[in-house]
Amino acid sequence: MKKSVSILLVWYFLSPAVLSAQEMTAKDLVQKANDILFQESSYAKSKMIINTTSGQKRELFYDSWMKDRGEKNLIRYTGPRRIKDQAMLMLNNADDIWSYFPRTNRVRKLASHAKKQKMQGSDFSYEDMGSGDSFLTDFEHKKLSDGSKEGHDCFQVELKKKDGIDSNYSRMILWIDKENYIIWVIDYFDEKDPERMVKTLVQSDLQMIDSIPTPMKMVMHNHLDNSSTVQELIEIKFNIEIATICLRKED
Amino acid sequence: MREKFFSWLASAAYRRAVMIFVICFAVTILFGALAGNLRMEMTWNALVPENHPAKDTFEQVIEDFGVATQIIIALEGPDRETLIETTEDLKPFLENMTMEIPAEMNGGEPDRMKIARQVHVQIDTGFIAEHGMMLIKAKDLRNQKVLYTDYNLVPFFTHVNDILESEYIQNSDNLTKQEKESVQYLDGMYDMIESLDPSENIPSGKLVRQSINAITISNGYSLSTDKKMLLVTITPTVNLNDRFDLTALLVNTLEAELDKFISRYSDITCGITGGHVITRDELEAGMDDTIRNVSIAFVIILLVFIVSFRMVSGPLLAMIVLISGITWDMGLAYLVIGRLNIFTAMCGVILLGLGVDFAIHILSAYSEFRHKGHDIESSLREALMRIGGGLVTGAVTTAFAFLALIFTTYPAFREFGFVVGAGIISCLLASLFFLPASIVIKERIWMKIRKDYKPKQIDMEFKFLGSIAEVTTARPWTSIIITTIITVFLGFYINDVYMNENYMDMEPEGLESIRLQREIPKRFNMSADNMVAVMDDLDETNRLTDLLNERPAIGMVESITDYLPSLQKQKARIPLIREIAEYQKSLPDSRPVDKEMLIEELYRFSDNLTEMSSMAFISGLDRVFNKTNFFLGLNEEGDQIGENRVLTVIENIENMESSESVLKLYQDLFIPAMKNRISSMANPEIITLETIPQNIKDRFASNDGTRYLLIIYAKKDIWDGLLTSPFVNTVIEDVPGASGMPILMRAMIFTAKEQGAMAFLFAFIAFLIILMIDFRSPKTTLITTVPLFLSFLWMFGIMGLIGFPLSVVNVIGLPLILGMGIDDGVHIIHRFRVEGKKKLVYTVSSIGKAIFLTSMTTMLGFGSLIPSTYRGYASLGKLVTLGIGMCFISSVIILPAILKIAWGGKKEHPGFFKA
Repeated sequence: MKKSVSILLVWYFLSPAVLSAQEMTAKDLVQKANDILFQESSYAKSKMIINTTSGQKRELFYDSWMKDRGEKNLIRYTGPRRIKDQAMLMLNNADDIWSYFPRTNRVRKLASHAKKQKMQGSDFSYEDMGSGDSFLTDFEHKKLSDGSKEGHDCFQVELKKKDGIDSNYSRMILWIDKENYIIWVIDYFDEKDPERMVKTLVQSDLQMIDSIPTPMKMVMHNHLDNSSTVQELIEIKFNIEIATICLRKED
Repeated sequence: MREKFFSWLASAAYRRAVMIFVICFAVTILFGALAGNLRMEMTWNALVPENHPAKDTFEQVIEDFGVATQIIIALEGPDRETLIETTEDLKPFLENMTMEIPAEMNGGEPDRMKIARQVHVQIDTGFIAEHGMMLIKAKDLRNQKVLYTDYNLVPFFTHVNDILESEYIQNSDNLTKQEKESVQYLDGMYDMIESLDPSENIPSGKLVRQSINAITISNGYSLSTDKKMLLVTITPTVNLNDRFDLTALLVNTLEAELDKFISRYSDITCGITGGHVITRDELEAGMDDTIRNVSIAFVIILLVFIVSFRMVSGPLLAMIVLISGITWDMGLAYLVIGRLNIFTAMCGVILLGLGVDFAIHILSAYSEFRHKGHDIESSLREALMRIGGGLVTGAVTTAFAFLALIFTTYPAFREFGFVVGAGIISCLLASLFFLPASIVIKERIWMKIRKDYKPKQIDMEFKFLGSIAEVTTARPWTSIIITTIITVFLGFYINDVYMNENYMDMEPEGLESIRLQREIPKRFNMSADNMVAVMDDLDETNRLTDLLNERPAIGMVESITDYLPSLQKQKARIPLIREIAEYQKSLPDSRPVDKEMLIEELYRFSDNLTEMSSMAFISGLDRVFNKTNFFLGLNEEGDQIGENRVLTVIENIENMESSESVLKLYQDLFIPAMKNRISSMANPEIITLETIPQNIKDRFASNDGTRYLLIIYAKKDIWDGLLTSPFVNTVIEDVPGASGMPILMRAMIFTAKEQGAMAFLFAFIAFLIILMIDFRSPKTTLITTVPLFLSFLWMFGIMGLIGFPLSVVNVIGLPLILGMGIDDGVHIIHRFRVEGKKKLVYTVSSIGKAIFLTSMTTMLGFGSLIPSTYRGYASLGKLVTLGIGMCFISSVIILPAILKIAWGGKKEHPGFFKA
């Protein structure tokens, strides 16, 4: 009995899939996770649930388009009626952000440092929403000890901001699923104090969409403000044809 | 041993009846006199866990800074002008208001004292007019300084729009972080736009001054978004740590005087709230409820007793004996605790429901034997020997369940456990000694008066209970399967039971003070209650004020640093202030107003408001959203439901031929007045504690000027979701020494939950031990607990099904149900052992009557709490009524079926049955 268990264990640890995952570097893991997170393009219908300052829950619905692996993003609100067709365009990994207000028919460019700000008061920043390949390009990667997170067996990878990079976070810890490379949890640390965890993103409700494992629910917990924002995907399509992403008043 | 004791007790009661009666009566008088000294502390504050660090801090803050617990006067009226006029009349009225302290409250000498230590109707605008620029952040001064470069209307509005766009619309973080400032800014601009309307106003010095006040120093009043409610606060001369009777006197006097004052204004209404008012209301409602509930419970239980026993004298005696038992308990409560709190004030009702059970059992059994022809002494002996064992076991288990609470660390539970536990023992002793002696005396008197006296025939069985037992025991397994199905069904709803953490939901219903606590957050987007902290260091006060003001859960932070920024900040502001002061020396002269350009800028302003409104909607910034909607005449969906004030002014400027000259006149008055105001505000002089007006120092600094008060308000109702409140969490994390009622209430709920669970466990273990000692059989002990276990499952299932929550008050009903619910099973099993297995149906129909009556009286006793104005009492009444009902049903329906399976078969159980 003992012998057969040992054989099974040896077989498991020497199996190609596990062996390759064990051997992957931190950067490889982030690359894998990023590849799943940011497809070439996508279109989604989503719902965001925010808590208003007087304690009510408010549901915001929007369509979003993503192109060039997250480098370009467009969000257009579809409801409630109050904000229907209000839109936001993020280009260059959210370095350039524009807002469109249908009620006044005006387009506004947001301040240059807006990337670090809360996206429309939610617990997500513009950087969280549209940072494209920045996990790969703007951070150094280090593998930490494996562990279990939200019930998933995960690799733990630390991302440290490179010198000269403008980001809200000094470092992040990614919890990447060992089987499918989904990032289940991201812990974000303060820009100035690398020991202070400021936010945590938790993804859940995994579904296979066009053969791509996709968490349909994201909850961003803000530890500083004791608040959280929920974002749910209602529908998503990957790798669709998007000619261009722009704000056009006639649309 | 037991038999001997009860036999001796019956003989003593018969032979020494008068002596026992006199001793018991004397004890009742003595303990009654002691009970008269009990203090009534009917406030939540009195229940806060002792040794909680925040409690001492809060008491210290109340002592040193009365402002921490203010009375809020909410005036409601048709418009801002009427409200402000009324407030200005009200201020001296409040400042001069006094109350008369009667001699009995003041050591024999009547006295008169002022009600308000301080009356606060508006912020000190005079100080802001002289030092305003020094109070603005350097970053904002830098961004806004362009506004002070040209007061011609067109460039002025161009700059207003530039600032709005760069500060708020293109920088969403600012809108979130500076919600309060943006709302103040919008308020000021609303007044300015109003004053610009050429069709409604002829420009005058006063009009322009008002408009400049609005955009520079604000009007200083605490007005709601819709401008129909205005808050005035007073710091009372009696603080919350003082005597309750003084607090009540102060609030009553204030309320009466305000009623008189407000009757002079036909379109203004007025209400008061705050810690003092709620304390008074809690005290009065608690006292009223206690007296009413005890009276109702007494009358109802007596009636049930009389109807069931179809006699008057016996039940009346039983009730008098019961009152004696409760009196003994109250006397003990005075000796041991000295006070009654919100929980222990209910003990009268609880003990009426619990204690009457003993009398019911004794009277039932005694009457049964008298009817069978036994004389008084042997009837007493037979009755006590038959039911005494179950009675004592039941009483001791129930009492232990409550006395176990003494081992918790929460004083509210400890006091409750002692008062009810000791009360049960008192009622048991009164029933065992006082009642038999009283019965003997009564019977002797009847026999002397009426030679033909015969005890009344009483049917001691409840046949319908016997019929039910017949059905359930005929097919015991079917009964168990049906019960299991019901239990599983209800089990699905157990998870839906939740804890209502909002203590305002426990407060008396229909009170103006509670309504205002709910209304103020809605109208002002800010809680009426607050949290406080005392700082030793001005820099730390500064840092925390800034930090908290940026936190999303915080509605507003008030501190001395609103008027006294740190030296470092002031120094950083000086060059910018000097720059602004310089601008005032070379301002452009008044030029003709370009109407088209002004209209263009006003349209731009309206668009900016629209965009701010949309951003505020997405960001959940209710204050900005409500304010912009009010400005634009929009509802939440964005429909035009009212007037867009900007567009109306534009329309009037466009349509009025002479508008250009009217606007020029306005501008000619505006430029010099604005120049004067800004020159005055752009004062580079460093502000020190000495420079600050005394009324501000009184509010925020200690007398010796070494400690500073921080008052922190939430954006939403502070009591909603208290346990997980981001507001409380934020304050606790950011301000380690913070205190206030939210922290204390949260500590109370946490302690109640934690200690409640522990008390429940203690009680259950105590039961098991006592039952094991009594029955000397694990099997019997286990079976005794089955009905109780089922009752709890059913009760929680029904609570989940109908959405009836647990609360900080009704959780104390859980050990109560545990203690009372176990009794039913104990009595049935005791009687079953005496009667034998062939008499199971008779056992249920006979003891069932007593169980039915005890359950009914308990349910009626607690049911009398349901109409309480104090909603916490009402919720306890509902919970216990439901729980006891379930215990009764499970005991008479499922327990006989189990007994049939366990001991009703052919097998003999000589050790179990006594017969």
